[in-house]
Amino acid sequence: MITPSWLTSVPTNLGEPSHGKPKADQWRTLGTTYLPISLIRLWDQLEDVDDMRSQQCKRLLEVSLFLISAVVIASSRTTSLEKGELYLHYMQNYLKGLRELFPQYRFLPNQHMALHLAEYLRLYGPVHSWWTFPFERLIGMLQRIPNNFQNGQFFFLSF
Amino acid sequence: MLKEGCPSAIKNCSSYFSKLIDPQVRNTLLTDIARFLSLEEEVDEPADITGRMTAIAEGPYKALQTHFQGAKGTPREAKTLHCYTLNHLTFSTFTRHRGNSFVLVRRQSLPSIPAQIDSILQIPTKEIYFVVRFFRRTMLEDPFEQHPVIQMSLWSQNLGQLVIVKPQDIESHFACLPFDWQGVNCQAVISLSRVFILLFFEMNRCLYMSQEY
Repeated sequence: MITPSWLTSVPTNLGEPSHGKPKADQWRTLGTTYLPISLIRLWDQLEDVDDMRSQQCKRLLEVSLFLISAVVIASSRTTSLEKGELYLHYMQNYLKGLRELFPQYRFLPNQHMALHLAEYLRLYGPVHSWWTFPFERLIGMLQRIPNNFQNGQFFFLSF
Repeated sequence: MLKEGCPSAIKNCSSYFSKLIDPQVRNTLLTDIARFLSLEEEVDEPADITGRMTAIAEGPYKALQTHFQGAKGTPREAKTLHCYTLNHLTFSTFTRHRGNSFVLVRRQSLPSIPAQIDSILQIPTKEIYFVVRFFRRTMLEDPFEQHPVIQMSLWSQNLGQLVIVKPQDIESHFACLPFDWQGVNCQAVISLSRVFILLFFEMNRCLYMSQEY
């Protein structure tokens, strides 16, 4: 895949324990850039209409693309009532598809909260103005500052 | 931190704050931050201002003539830039950085069209022009068309004629994957615009496509 230099890199060995836990931004880039093209190439055309595996892959693709569409709309730098409704439409379809594909799956609180996002988009505007990623980034930087683990003595040692 | 009376403890942390908005770091979230900063700052600037005026090559000159509709004022000399920074994003010629040369060009009330930057010209009036080649449509059925929200599309690997595009007509970069589809060399294009523009006819199409499920 040819990408501009500013786009977040994603692990080339995704799925292996050695790459560690991908960050939220890596998940977003992976989900909204790499996965749609790869999955459509792999699963969009049914090789055999009667083959159960092909049919299952096709449905997995549709459900995955509902989620990706919802992420694209939710993380847009602009929003509107229509976009909020469209987001909810895709998120509901994604969750319905998930239940149909995996009847035993137990939904998580985050999936319930995702259904409220349309309301937040309407009330607070685009997510960039109220999401907490800048704070998480700051916390990460603060955690990486070398220190001697002695509370209250940091300033004496550093300056 | 630059204001008078700012506590020295805060001033001493300036390097940490500057890391937060370092545009050199490869991180999509930072481009989000930079985009908002650019709303208040004048940041569009040529990244290479040392070049000299040279005669414009025949291909780009013809494209300029078409752009200026054959007017006599078509410049014959320009500075050739390797890259140009717009809203904290770097746009390059394809010989410098292929990924940075792939741009989506806006069209009024129509989906944007992908192009490759061939060269970047700064004419004597200081105006910047991108000389681009548009991607060509493929005759194959586009498998990405059914998912309009994700803004993907299928294009031929052949490029069109040289055309002039102004920086303000650039919507965003795009990511591109050349691959073989139904025995034909094609490329999949996916928009990297962080602004999802919902055209009226697309809204209906989105709802229609997803209701078929």
